[in-house]
Amino acid sequence: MQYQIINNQTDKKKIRFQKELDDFAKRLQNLVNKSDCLLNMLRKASDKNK
Amino acid sequence: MKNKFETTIGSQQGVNKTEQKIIKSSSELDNIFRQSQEIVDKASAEIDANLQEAQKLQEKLGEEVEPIVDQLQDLKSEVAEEGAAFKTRMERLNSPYVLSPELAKILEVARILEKPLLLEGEPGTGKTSLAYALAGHEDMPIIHVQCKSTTSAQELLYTFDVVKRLQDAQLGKDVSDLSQYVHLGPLGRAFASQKQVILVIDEIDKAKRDFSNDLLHELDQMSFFITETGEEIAAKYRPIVIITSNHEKDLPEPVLRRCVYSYIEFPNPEQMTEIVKAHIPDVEEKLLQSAIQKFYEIRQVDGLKKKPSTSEMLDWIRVLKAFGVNEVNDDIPCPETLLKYKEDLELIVGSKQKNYEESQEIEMPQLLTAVINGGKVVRLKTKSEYIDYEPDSSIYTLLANEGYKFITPNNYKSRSFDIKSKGVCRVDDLTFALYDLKNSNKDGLYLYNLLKKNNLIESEFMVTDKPLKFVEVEESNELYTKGKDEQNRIIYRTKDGKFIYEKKVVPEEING
Repeated sequence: MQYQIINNQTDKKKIRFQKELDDFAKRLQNLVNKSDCLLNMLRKASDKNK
Repeated sequence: MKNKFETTIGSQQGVNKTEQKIIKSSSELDNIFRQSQEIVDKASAEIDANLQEAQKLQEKLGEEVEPIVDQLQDLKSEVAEEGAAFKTRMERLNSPYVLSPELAKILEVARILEKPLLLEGEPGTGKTSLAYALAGHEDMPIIHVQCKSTTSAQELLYTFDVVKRLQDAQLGKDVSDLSQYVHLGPLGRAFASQKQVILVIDEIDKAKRDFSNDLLHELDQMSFFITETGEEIAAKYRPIVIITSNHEKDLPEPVLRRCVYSYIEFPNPEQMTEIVKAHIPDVEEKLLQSAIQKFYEIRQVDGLKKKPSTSEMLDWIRVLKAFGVNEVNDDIPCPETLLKYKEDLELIVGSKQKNYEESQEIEMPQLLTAVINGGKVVRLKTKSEYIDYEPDSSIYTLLANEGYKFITPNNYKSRSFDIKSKGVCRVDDLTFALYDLKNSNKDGLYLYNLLKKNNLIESEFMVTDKPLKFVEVEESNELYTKGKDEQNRIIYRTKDGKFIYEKKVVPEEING
């Protein structure tokens, strides 16, 4: 029986992996941005309390 | 009938097997993992700093702001989860897939009919792997939904962040634009995508029965409405939907009717041979054939709680290669890699297991790197650089005389940098535990001093929280990353973020 092997092209994978890594970095940066926003909310609340 | 897969990849059938490539864990993939870890570390550090400042502010502002601090803590966990998920995703995208002609045809049928493909089959038959391999092969984005008993159809479409809107309202922000509080779920993102995506709804049988029924309409129409905003999300490009099920329970008939169904049989020996070769191209034929024969013999034994699957087969071959096993005969080396239940091990290996361990006691003084209780991690001096295969009897004799013996731990995956409460555990590629049989209270420091006194310690591994910079990564797994630093020292980063470096023990230190 003839089996076909798919997804075994290294060059293609390299490009894909880099793109996935870039997306991953963006997702994590979004989380960091969210945390910045949350901290800013607290800072503002703290300033108001002064 | 010629299908798309035959036409697009059929030419690969004639490719020399040695040219089949996968990105090996030691090269490009490791490089990606290293970079992703740096991204995780950086994000964690930044969120951590924010969290610490937030906690200080909380002391001033009181309990009212606790939910915000909680959200920050959640973000920190989310970063770690994202990191782990990324690694799994990359490993899946890196895996080649051996596609049978039948499955290639079914894929094409689903594509022509534009219907979801429902794949059933026992765990480890490659249902999820197929979705990822297709995504890699066709260079399509993949969106993965892992079903749990709590997964709801609604969360797959979208969620509306009522809490955030309330918070914003309290802070006097403009909350009239409702779309800012809509978060699309995986199915929503698949519909909204500007490219055709592969949507894998994994292990649908783990979700409640209503789950699949609730999705029928949306999957049929490829659109849904966001109630809060009235916006319609309609798929511009119909996603390729692959639904997997381990057949833990029957799916509702209306779901079956709307899908193209395929039951993936467990690979036969011929296909398994191709699968192993695709994943481990440098496997020796003799080892491969003998291991496959033994593997199928084991699978045929009645009464197994869990039959070994493809992933276990691949792990087994990797371990056998690492152990330098050339052929599998009557004995089953490393059975714990194949069998995951004590009962199964007893059923298959039974008394053989005991004999095997006893033989290891005599034949395997192969200690290279050891964790000694009491916090010492050492590399032992050896007469040969190939100590894995040429045991250094002086170490073994010394330790054996002291009442230590080598055994194979139940699960080789238990290797870790954790200091064991007793004995010595090898932590490099081959993992052996050395247990103190004579006296369980014997202090690990005693063993350390004994080895030192006999000039058998080459170097010590020092543990530090201070980050060390990798210039080269040799190995990365779920427990640690191993590589070299700028000083060409072997260094490790453990899963809990600690760094370990190797420090040569100079004779003065030994004598001193």
